[in-house]
Amino acid sequence: MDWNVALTKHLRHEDAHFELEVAFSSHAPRLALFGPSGAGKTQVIKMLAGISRPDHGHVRIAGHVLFDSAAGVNLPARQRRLGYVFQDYALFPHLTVQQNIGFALQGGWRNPALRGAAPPAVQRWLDAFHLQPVAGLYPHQISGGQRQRVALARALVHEPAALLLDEPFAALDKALRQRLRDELRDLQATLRIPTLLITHDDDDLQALADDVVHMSAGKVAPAPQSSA
Amino acid sequence: MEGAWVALALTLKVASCATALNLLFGVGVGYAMARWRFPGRDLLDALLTLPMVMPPTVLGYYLLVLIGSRGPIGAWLLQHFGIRLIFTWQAAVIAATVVAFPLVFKAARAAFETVEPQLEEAARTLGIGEAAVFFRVSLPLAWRGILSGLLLSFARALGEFGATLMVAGSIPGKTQTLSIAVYEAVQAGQDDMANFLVAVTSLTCIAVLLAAGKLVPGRVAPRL
Repeated sequence: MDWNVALTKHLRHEDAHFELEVAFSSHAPRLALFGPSGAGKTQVIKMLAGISRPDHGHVRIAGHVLFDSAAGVNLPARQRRLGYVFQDYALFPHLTVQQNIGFALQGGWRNPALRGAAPPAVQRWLDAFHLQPVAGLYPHQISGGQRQRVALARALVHEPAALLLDEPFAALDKALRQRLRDELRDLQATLRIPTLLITHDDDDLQALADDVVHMSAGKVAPAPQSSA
Repeated sequence: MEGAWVALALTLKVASCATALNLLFGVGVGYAMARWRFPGRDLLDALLTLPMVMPPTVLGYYLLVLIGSRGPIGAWLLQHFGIRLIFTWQAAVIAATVVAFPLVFKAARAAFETVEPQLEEAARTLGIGEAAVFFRVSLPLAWRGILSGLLLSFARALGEFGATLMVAGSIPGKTQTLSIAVYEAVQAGQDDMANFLVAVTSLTCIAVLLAAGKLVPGRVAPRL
């Protein structure tokens, strides 16, 4: 399993300038991007997903070239087949849990039907994540842990080539965090799907990553001796 | 009194057509202005809002210059299709559309700006094409704001007077809308007719407001 990434991007927000220059490669199926907030981790994951365009560099994931500025390759986000779980989940507020999960399976200009049986793949994830009782509810009506599972199921339902997780537990309290971390670890083991995890939590590294890329101030940093 | 019903039917036809056109243009332009940054954006925004603040007669004059048979658009239509727009009900539709456009455009732009760009990004990562992102995520989330703008623009189109009079005139049964008919009746001293027309107009407005209450449900939109 290969992560091969080299990216540069000049970011400007009002008067503040930020130089992002990140290169890493790893054969680990479970990779973590570790660093303090403001290090540019989310920017990197957005460039992998194809939401943000790097100035230069390349992105190769699992043997697929997703971006290569030298070769003029830039696959749009919809063709990258990456499951992206946003930090605050970005669930569609106008769609029910069942519709959210089925979103990627429905082609065309219409959303999945509000009523009626969900496709088998949706049913499977509703069962696996114990979401059947809330299948007809809207995101604002369910708990934080349930939202996280909906976001995960929505990203996994179209069988992505890899999973990108941006601080998946940041919005949850400590007890719930531990339980969902265990769930995610089991999921990684059963699905054997390559995952890239953004975190600044040591416990996440222990449970969910085989290899770590340390980031700080927009650059890849050497691994610290002690993570103080 | 039969003339009043003809005027009512014409007014509803003109206002409906103008609102349908504004659904297309107002939503399209509102979305573009909410999503894309480009030089001159503020100036364009001001120009597009102008019909809301300019006197309708000035607007009507501009339209006359543009679509009159010697105007650039009017001459072209006449030469290629043999169409004369001035003093037709279609000209009344154009006048009502232009006058009511900013109401839809402003509402649509504000509504699209409240839609989290991240939700559109999420849809893209789920393998959805750009048009589908618009129809499945952006539009449904902005719809309530757009709908209120559409209702306002329909009401504005119903009451349009100045610009309509300039480009469509006041031909009974052809271009004479309710508000113009009221004016003509008062000018001619036909008090009965004026009273009747005013009553019809008032009832129509109440009906529109009631329909608006039904169309825009009072419940709060689901939010994350």
